[in-house]
Amino acid sequence: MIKFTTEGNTLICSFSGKMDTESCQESSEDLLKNVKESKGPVVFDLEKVDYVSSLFLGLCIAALKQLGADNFSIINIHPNVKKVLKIAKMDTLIKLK
Amino acid sequence: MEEKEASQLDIASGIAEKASYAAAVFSQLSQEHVDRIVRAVYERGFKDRVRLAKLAHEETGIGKWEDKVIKNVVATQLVYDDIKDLKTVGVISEDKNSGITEIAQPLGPIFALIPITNPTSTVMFKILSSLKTRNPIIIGPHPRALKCSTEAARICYEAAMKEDAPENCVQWLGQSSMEMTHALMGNKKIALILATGGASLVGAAYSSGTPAIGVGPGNVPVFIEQSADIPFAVEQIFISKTFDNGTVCASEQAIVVEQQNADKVIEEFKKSKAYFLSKEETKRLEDVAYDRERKIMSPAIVGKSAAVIAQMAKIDAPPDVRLLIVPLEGVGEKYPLSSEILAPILAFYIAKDYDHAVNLCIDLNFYGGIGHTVSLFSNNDDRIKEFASVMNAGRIVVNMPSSQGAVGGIYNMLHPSFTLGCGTGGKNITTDNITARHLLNIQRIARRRPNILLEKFDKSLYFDESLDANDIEKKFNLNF
Repeated sequence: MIKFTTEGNTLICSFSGKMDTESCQESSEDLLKNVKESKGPVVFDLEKVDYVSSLFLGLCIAALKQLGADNFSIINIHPNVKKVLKIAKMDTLIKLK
Repeated sequence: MEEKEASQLDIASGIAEKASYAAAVFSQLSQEHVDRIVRAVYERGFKDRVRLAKLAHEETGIGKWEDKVIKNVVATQLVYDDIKDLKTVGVISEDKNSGITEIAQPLGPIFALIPITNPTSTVMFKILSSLKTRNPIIIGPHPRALKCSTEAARICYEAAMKEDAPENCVQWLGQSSMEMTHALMGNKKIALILATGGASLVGAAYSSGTPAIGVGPGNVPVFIEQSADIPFAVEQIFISKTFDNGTVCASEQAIVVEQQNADKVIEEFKKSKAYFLSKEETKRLEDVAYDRERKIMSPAIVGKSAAVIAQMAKIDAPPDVRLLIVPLEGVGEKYPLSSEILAPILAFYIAKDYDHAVNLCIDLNFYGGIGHTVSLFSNNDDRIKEFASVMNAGRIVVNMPSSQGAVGGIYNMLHPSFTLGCGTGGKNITTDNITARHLLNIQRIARRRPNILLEKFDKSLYFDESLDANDIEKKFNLNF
């Protein structure tokens, strides 16, 4: 599940749940649409996330391609999630805060 | 040419990237989920064992499909049985006394090279071992076993995905090329190379900068020692050397007997349809079975039946011949058939006595088979230990077929494996039969358990150079 909020011209996408293919096909389509239409930076908020799915990693890469490294970051990363993002070497591509 | 190379690198990068995402997701899975995936892959691989065996035989033209079915059974059922209860996730051991807790972590993406001799079985063995340890795997097929290897990988992946395994936990190269193989070997996202193949491939793996586990070639002598049960020994050797037409690297290459058993052994072999070649026939067989330029066995005879090879070399063996036996005087370059020949051909040596026999075995073992396997038929436990200790072999199989014996799990309690380490003699890192156990990074939590003797010891004594180890030891262990 993904909730969308804005702060100024920044789009904040708050993820929750497992974000695996079954439950989230629709949400991810919405997300990509919103990211595409965003006029400013985009932030993925992982406060409520404790599991990283293949689908989620795919969304990160898609967002990165669309926005570029300067306009995209991921925040509120719990340690177990941080570790997973490190294994995927996402930290070398995307700003993790 | 440059453009083509760049795109092979790009393709390799793409594959490695997908594998690293799979590794990230995989690292989160529980033991229960992992075991469910492994069970599903085993069941599917087992289900397709005959179809895959026939595919492998059809594509490679090597061996016998019926024996490839058995290889597939070992690679699935026996491997599964061996690893199913292994703890490979999270805390795997906890010792309150030592204060040490072990935690199993995956390695990361594994690049697995597959040989032409056991294609589908090696694929399934490596996939089961990797998935059990939460490591995504990339299958690198042998170019002449491409279809059957990729099909085996595909069905395993399909089964894994039905149990919600991470996407791309199994990938396979659709084409096999040296550029792609080298590109993946050297890619920084690959955690380990599992190199089952020829010496140059294994060498490339070790030189790539990525950690590697490789194998070595075998040149297995089988010594039928004085105390052996000769009819039994001969029967076991037939079982071994005709299995998949002698294509298992651990199969016997030469028979060594002492003078006093020689006639009985020869008689037993002839009874079961082995044919002993004359000197002229030996010469013709050498021309057909050995590539003198490249100094290795000729691919033309690998995995062919004795009858077919006899025809190729114009040897006057009966049409139902099962083994071709070549009496030889020595070991080495002057005797090409004393080297590894993956076909139903065996060199035959008659030794004066035990010492001469063992020396011949040492020569054979060291002639292209260091660290692999040696075989012995004996009922004398002292001789068994003596023999083993002068060999350089990771496996000394006693009173069993060597092909099936070295693989493990069938005739002995060695771990079933299709990647047999040959130790440093074979330029490998271990002599183990490689299994899932080798595919984990074990972490250890160490809690405070001070070395009591060290704590209470007056350490200023260490700075007194007049005190030697014995002096220190006495004081160190005082009252303990």
